[in-house]
Amino acid sequence: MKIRYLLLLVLAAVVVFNSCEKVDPPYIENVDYCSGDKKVLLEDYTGHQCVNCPTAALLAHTLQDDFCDRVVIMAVHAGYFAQPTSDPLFSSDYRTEAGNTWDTFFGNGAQGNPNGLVNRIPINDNYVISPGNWGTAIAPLLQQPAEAKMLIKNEFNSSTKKLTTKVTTTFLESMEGNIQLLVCLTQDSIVSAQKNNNPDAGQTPVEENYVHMHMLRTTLNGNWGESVNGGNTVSNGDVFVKEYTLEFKEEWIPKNCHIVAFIYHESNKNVIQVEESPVLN
Amino acid sequence: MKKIVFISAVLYFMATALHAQDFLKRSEVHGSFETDVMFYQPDNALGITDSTINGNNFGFNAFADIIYTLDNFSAGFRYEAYLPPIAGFDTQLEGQGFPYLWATYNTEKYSFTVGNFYEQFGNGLVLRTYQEWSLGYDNSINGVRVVAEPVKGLIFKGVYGTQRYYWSKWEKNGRGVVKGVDAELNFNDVFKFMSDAKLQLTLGGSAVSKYQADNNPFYKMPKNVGAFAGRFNIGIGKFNFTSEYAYKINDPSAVNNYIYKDGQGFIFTGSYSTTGLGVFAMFKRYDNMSYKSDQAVTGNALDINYLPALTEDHTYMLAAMYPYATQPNGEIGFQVQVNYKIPKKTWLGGKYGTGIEINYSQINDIDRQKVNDTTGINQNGTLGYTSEFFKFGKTIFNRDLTVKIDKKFSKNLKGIYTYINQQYNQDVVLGHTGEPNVFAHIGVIDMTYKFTSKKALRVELQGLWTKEDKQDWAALMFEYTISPHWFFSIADQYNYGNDIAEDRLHYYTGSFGYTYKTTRVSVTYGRQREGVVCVGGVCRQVPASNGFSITLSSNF
Repeated sequence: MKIRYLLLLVLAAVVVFNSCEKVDPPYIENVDYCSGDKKVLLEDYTGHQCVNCPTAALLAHTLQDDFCDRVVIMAVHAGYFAQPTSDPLFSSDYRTEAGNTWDTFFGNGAQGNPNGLVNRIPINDNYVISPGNWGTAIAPLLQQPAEAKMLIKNEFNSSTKKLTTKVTTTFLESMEGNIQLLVCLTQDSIVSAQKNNNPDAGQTPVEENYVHMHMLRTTLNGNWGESVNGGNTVSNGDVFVKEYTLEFKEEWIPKNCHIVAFIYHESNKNVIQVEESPVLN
Repeated sequence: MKKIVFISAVLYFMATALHAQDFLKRSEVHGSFETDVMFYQPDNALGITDSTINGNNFGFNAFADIIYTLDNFSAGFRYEAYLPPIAGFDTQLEGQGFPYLWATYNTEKYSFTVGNFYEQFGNGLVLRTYQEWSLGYDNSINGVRVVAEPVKGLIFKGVYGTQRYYWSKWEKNGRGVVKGVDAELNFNDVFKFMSDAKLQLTLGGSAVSKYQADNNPFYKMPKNVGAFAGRFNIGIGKFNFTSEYAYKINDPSAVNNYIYKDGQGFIFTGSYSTTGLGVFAMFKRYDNMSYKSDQAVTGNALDINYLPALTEDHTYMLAAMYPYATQPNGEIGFQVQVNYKIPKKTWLGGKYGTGIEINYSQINDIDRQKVNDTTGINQNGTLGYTSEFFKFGKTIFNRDLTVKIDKKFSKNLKGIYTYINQQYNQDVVLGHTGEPNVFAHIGVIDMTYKFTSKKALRVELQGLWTKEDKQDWAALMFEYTISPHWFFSIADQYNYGNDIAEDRLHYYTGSFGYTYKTTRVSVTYGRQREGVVCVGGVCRQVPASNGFSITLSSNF
């Protein structure tokens, strides 16, 4: 065999072998996510019969920590795995009209839970993002400047069980098109059975006392909200105030509830800004 | 002067024409075409209504492959159209164009290719690009390939390029660039003293790397991810052994939940073959071996490598209901197959002999342990897990026992009898989260009767019994063939045991086809049940549908 072939092979192998990078921990980029006013909405589409969903919920919380609490989580129970069954453990129905509508529109259930929406922005023409890609989708959004500020003021009357929510939106950039405001009620610490295959999240295959967090309970202004600007161009500094009331149901424990409000472009559903505030301040 | 110009021009054109004639004589053009058309219609029982079809009552997949050859030079292209793709094919395929263009120049010792090409190193554990029309799968590399065989039995390969991703053009800082080298040495060809040796020995090795810019703002991504493999093939008389081991450096991706563990792949096969008896055994283990040229992509696209499947590929209608899809994130398993031909003119063999095939395969999850007390198994942004190499995980992904007997009763009548016992993990394999494992018994009787040397009737009677999924099925098929041109077939799959009475549906089909030389046309009408189609462990979902399908194929 001619020596030149060996040399050529060695050279090629050296080139390929050198094309190898070992990454040392920590594996997550050291970026300061604590500065910046923009927040990101992570909708975790889930169901009590979805065995992989507790892992996704753990991930959502990890990401919330990683991103310095600038991620607002909303657990939307919808689709096949959220259906109640004849088994008493899973007889509760945590689905909501809004959640079902979004699930159909964005196609979460059709693509198999768990999955989610990150600011309702599609990646590769697909709104639905698998949990593994949540962090990757959130990070660049948090590095963008906030285009609006939102302030939520909740007043809960414990005798009438009536909540009044005032949402003030201040735009920091001008923008065109119809901008919608959607106001939602979420609830933490709902103890109920959940199918589970992750020992870190509880008993497997069923955690009978699973603590559901960030569960969407209802919306205060319909499935898609209402326009804040009536379709008119908004300018930097424009302020819009909207107020809603909600009568609490028995099962909605005020101290465990939050209002999640977000504004989005009606044309593409992309979320501009999101804010969260406890019902009881 | 004008005459000289005129004569010169005539001579020039004559010479050119003669040259052109010679050129044309040495040129060859070959090609193949296929067109698959599907017309959908509403079917309330399947939940398909006018509103769900929503005007999309037509699917069209077509390709044409053309190859031109002139002496050592060859070039070709493939045209593809998915307008729109047939239901079940990835919607990103929608469009038409020329995704495959290439030119190759071969000499005795070298081959140079530019453009698109398919290539495989060894078993494919670190590199295999291929096209599978029935899956809508194509991961061809667009770039340069050099193959050198300086001496017979010693082959070097080098590839460099980017992979096809549906119709998306490669852009800088987009999907990765793939480069790789492979060498294979056949000792019996290279070394004279081994040319007649009983021992047949081949060794090979590969190194592949992908480069992708780190656009990930969250994770620290390795821009260069390398994978290496070594292999051997030893033949000694009636025995043959092959093995390949592959190692991949940290490759966090959407497929493996962005863990930084290294990857390993290992396959070992052994076989023994003698008159009337064949024994085949295989062991494999894949651990974090998804290797794609884009870390954010999931699904059947941009795979650099291929992980060979191990389970028996079933083709009968009901036997193919639960096909196994290779789990690149981790699986360990084995397969054993024995083929025995009971000699003819014995009590069991009868006049013509009897063939028996027994195949058993089992695939489990790999063993997975926490890397430390505070890190969950497979937690993103960590090393993921640790795993003992030969330890089987507790979760069974697939288990399959197949016993097949084929028997010829007379000159005109023969039969194949198959029993399959299967355990199938729908949760993992199909992503049907939370659904229980399927335990199924499947039986098939396949009889063929030849009326004449050209006319034959084949009948299949099948049953599938399970308490899970959609419970019990029965199927019947009649296929009448008039060689070499015609076939007619009717079939029905009946989900008679479904726990839900209104879902006890018949999935009937009728089809016929005509073949003339290398051209074949077939027409099918009926219901397609929801399911999965797999080729070599790579699968795609097929939705339920009802309607006509027409397939036309030809080659020249």
